[in-house]
Amino acid sequence: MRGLAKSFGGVHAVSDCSFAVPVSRVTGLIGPNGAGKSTAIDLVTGFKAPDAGTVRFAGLEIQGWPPHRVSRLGLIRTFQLPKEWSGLTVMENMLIAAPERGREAIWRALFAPGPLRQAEDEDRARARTILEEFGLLALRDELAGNLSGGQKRLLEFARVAIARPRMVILDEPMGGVNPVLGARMGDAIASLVASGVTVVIVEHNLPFIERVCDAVIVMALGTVIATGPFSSLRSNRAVVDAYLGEVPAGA
Amino acid sequence: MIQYIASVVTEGAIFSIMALGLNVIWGWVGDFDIAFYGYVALGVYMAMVTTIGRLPAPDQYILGWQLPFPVAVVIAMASAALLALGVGAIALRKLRASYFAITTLATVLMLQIFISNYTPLFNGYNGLYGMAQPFNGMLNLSPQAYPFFFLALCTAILAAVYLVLERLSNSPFGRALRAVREEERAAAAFGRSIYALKLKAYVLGAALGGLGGALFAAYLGAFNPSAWSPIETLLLYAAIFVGGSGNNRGVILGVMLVSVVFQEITRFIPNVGGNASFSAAVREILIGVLILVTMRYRIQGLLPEPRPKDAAGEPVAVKPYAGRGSAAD
Amino acid sequence: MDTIFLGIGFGLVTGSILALSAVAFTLTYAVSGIPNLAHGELLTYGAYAAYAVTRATHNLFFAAVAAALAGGMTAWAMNAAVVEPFVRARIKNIVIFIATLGASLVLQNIILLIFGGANVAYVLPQTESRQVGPFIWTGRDAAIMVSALVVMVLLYLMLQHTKFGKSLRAVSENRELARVSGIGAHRVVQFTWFLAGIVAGFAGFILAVSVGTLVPSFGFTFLLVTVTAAVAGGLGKPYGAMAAAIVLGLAMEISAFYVDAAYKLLIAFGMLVLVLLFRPDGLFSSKTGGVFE
Repeated sequence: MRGLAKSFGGVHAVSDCSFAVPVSRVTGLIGPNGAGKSTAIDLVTGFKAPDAGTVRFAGLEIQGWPPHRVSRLGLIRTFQLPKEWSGLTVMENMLIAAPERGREAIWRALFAPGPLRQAEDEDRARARTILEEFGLLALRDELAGNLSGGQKRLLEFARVAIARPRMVILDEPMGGVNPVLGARMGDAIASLVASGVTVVIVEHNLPFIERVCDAVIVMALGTVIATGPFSSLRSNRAVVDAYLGEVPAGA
Repeated sequence: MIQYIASVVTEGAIFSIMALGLNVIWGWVGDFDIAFYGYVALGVYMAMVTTIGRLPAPDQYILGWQLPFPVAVVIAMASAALLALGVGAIALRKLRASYFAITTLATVLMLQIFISNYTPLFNGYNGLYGMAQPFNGMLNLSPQAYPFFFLALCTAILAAVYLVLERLSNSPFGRALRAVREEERAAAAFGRSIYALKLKAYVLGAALGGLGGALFAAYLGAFNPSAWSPIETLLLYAAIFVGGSGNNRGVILGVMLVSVVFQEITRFIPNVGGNASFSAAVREILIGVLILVTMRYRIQGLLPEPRPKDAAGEPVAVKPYAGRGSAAD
Repeated sequence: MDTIFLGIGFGLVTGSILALSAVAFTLTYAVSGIPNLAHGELLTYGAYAAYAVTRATHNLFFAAVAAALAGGMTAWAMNAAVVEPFVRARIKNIVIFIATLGASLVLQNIILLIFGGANVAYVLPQTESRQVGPFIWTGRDAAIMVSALVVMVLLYLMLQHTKFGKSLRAVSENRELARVSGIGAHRVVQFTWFLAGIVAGFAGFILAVSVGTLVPSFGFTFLLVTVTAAVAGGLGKPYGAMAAAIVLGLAMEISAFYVDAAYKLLIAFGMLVLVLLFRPDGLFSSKTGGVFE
């Protein structure tokens, strides 16, 4: 991603922001509030259109694409608050998150219900396995809206897992999560990476970032101010200043 | 008496078809469409101008064909679907929920003004008349017997519509529509085109509105702009709210309760104090109160949306969910 | 050239009535976040209350006061009985929006119940047309415009220079925060509805004076034009609504000289659709809409 910019009514939320993330690694994206992290994610995943700049993913320039096309290319994102489909069951949530592959065509529902059901059953079996891993199997017929906050976070991960993405951007996955659940999420992220998925985590919880990330990108005032392994950042003057709320030198 | 009941039930079957179509738009996808009765009205008009031939001189309207009723039904559905495609393509693209509703309200009022004033289209304020009883050219049934045939016809079409919608509702397509309704950003993040799904549902719903309109044309025999308004759409909504948004059986139950039983009973309220509108006013007040009470206390209606169970495995204890209306927006 | 001035003259009359209605609509939206589809009934209640008073007293001043009070009380009751309870029960905005449509059905039919469906009219003194510069107005037109202007100036003073105006702005900028930090937020909302109702009720009265007759659906017919002005002015922005109302009034009345007058409303609704599509935050806003923004 190069030279990305977005402004709202004259306020530059993100300007000339460039970074790249390594494939099949975990990269953390950190920065103080208002640094433009959320806007950057929205720009990369198509939820907002950039005013300038390019986003390259899987060999294609995807800036300005609508979100569903970005997603179908294998780049999936989550949201700060879990956005489960609350009036649907946990199992239905999983089935929608699974790759669609033309199954939602109206003619199939009307004229080919048999083959459709078979294809669905494969997804169902996979969904059960994944739900079991996350300890949600017993709740599969429960409405997602009835789950606890922690369970919703787990469902979010389960949905990402069944979607088989190439890359996933997790927006503050640790918000409102207790330490036990945190460990479980660490495991989930590790298993995603093990299967070749590229992971980007936006997070305020720095110990968690230090534990799970291979490298870190630091943003402040809408642009990237540092990148590198977490340990190298402690000695970086600009990063420390940004977190103390001062304008970094030369910005 | 039996004639009266047959007529009332026929009307219920026709309204059920319309309400099931509207339920695709509101119950499944959650778009509050006020233009819906415009699609029904277009279906009525199209069924008429394609079957009644030419009326004598002062009346003017397009087409004036004398096609068989089934062909007219197909034309009515296609016209409604086409209009909905146009309206939906514009209004569903980027409008927030209440803006979409206001746009559709403006659309139906524009349609009504245009059809009322532009006489060459559907004869303006005077409307159309002279619709023949479908298939009675072949059947030659007596005026006493024909209503029962027509009742059977409408019921059979309702059954077919119900079966098709049940299949769609339980399919991945129906599930995707509900996902868009529950949380559209997440649906987009998992690869669903919100616009395409909403537009498909909107056109499908409107086509069913056109189907209901074609049958209604045959039921009424005559039609003019004073017979349709946004209030008619609201009556269909009242039936859906009471019966259960998103539940096909609930919608039919709602129509039978609200549009049939309730409407017919309140017809017997006497007009008080020389006010010819008294009983109509009481009826509409009660319907408004019914809508308010349902919205406030039982948003899921009498029959809540069915919840598909994962086939294999042991039964699980399920507690009720407060319903989608209760979540903060 | 003469027709255009005639159109502008009519447009200013329509626009000033519309401005009051649109300001009222936008104020309730500002504090509650709901486009109130029962707004038209506030005008209807004002107009019918004035009608009842003119029949009893033949005094137009009393009629105007009655219209304002009836509108105010109806709006207050609408908020207390429908909007507030729904908001407090944390019901989705779209459902509350639908509930206001239900309320409109109830209110409209109560009028039908009491007054019947026939046209009724005020008994008004005859006034003569007079040439003012290039414009031609009747004394009635002048009274409508002057009284609307007075109401708008009073409203402006109230919004800019009182404590209430300040709290109203605070509530409309962040409803959640105002509700939580809530010193008097609830009362600000209540009073805003009452105030908006007064303005809308008075608008209903001068609209009925201008049109000449009224029926129970009188306000509902005016609803969409009101919404058009309020949206074009940027929902929740009182001065935007006033400006847009004048523009819309002029557009409608001038166009009526060039196309069939029956299509006047068609033009207004067409403008509404265009505004919603291309400037959903109002004609005077720098923002343009997007799917998720």
